[in-house]
Amino acid sequence: MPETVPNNHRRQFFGAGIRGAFLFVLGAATSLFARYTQKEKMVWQIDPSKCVQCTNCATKCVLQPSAVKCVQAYPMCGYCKLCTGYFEPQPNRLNTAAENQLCPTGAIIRTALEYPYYEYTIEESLCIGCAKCVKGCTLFGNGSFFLQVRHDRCVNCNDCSIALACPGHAFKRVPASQPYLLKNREHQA
Amino acid sequence: MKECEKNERSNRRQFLRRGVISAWFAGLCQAVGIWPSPARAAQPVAGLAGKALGPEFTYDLAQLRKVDPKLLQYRETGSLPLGLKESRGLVLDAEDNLYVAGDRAVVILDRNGKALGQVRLDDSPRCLSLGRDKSIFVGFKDHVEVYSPGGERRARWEKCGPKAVLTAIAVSENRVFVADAGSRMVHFYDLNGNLQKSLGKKTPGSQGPVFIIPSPYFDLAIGPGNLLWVANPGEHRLEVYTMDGEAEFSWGKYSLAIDGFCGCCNPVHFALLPDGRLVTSEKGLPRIKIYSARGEFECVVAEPEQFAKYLDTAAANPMGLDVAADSKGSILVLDSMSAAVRIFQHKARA
Repeated sequence: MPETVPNNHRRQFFGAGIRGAFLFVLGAATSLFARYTQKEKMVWQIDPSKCVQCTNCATKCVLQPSAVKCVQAYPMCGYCKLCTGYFEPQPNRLNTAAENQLCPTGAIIRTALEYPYYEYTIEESLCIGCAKCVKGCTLFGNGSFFLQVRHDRCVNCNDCSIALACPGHAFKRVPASQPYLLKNREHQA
Repeated sequence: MKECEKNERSNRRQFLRRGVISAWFAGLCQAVGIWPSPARAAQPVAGLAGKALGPEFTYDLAQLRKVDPKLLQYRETGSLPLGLKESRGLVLDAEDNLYVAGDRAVVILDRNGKALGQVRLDDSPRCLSLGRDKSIFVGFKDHVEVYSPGGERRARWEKCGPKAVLTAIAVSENRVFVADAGSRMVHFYDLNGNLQKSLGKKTPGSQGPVFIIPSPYFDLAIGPGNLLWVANPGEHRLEVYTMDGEAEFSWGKYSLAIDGFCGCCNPVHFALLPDGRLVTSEKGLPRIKIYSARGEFECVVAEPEQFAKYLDTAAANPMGLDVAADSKGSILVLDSMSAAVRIFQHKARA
């Protein structure tokens, strides 16, 4: 009688082990399947080719200042001495005096490079996304200034309040793994 | 005791009556709009609380789109439809027939718009010019191809370089000049496509580049006296060189005023009239103007409002307006966005 007990325990042990292993494999397979079929997280972004520079990006965002900022496509930029995104339409001199600057918040920095070229960079902490410089650059230049939603600050609302007000329907959902719609030289040539 | 009960009932009635009146009053206020509805009150305050930006945030060129009517001395007298989605270059032959490069073809029309022929191309052309024997020199992104007047390909020249973006060609008696906006140079070829020299190369002693080309617009043409005219848009100038590339003179200035060239880089296109004057085309504020050969502003052919489609910055990569002049002095403007060549004649002659 006492000899039958260990056999019984061994069978129970193996049975429980097999059931455990089966459950483990099932769980792992379910987890892999769920991960495989899971939709990627999407975020808001502006399609630069549809942006009409309406100023809504500065006024409609739930954040103050807006999560939309001007960005500079350096490969496209002409590094112009007379940058129409930086200077007022009719500057009295091509210098950094406030009255000659187009940006009302002074968010563009002009740095001299090799003659006759100048580099223009955006100071994001000052940019409110009004698109005034984008308009100047796009109209006269080659459009290297353009607006983008900056994802280090965007709270990714389900209903983006700028997207709802965008007259150019330029806002779209893009995968979070590729959150920017950048311009390059192909847009120019 | 009874009086107390009466008072209590009276108070309850008064309370209910006041409640009903208050509810009615609140509903009335809400209907009139004095009291915000719960839905409206729950909306988040967005951005600058719905306030518009001040006038300092407006990029307004509305005043500059209109030109003094006294200066506008040409009138649009017609247009020739092209049927091309994208057209980039326009030249005229000695009989005033039009050659338009666009899509993957060169379309040939007579002066009334009747199709005379078409040359099929393997790629999208960027520019074109005609030889003395009516050979068609077609510029692609990085090379030139030569076609017979009948449309057969005679030659395909070597690539101009890895950075090449060809934007204009001019053909003289024994040379072909090719404007390359990508490398910011004018290449001098013989008629067989052998590169002889390049104008604009940076030399060790030079202060900077010869040609400043911020955007892919870099035009050239051959004028009277065998002079090579080259637009230097980043300097807002037209420059004149001998056939060997020696600088002769230049003129032009930056200005939003009508006598100057606006924006970062203009003029984007130009052409010579039969009498040696020049017709220029600008982008940004699309305006077509006439200058004397010495650079004196004379008059306006077309004002910006006549090219409304080109003022829309949302339009993807708007083309510049290429220009040409026929033997009678009429100005032809290649309007790619309207897929047509628009014809302007002097008001005195129209």
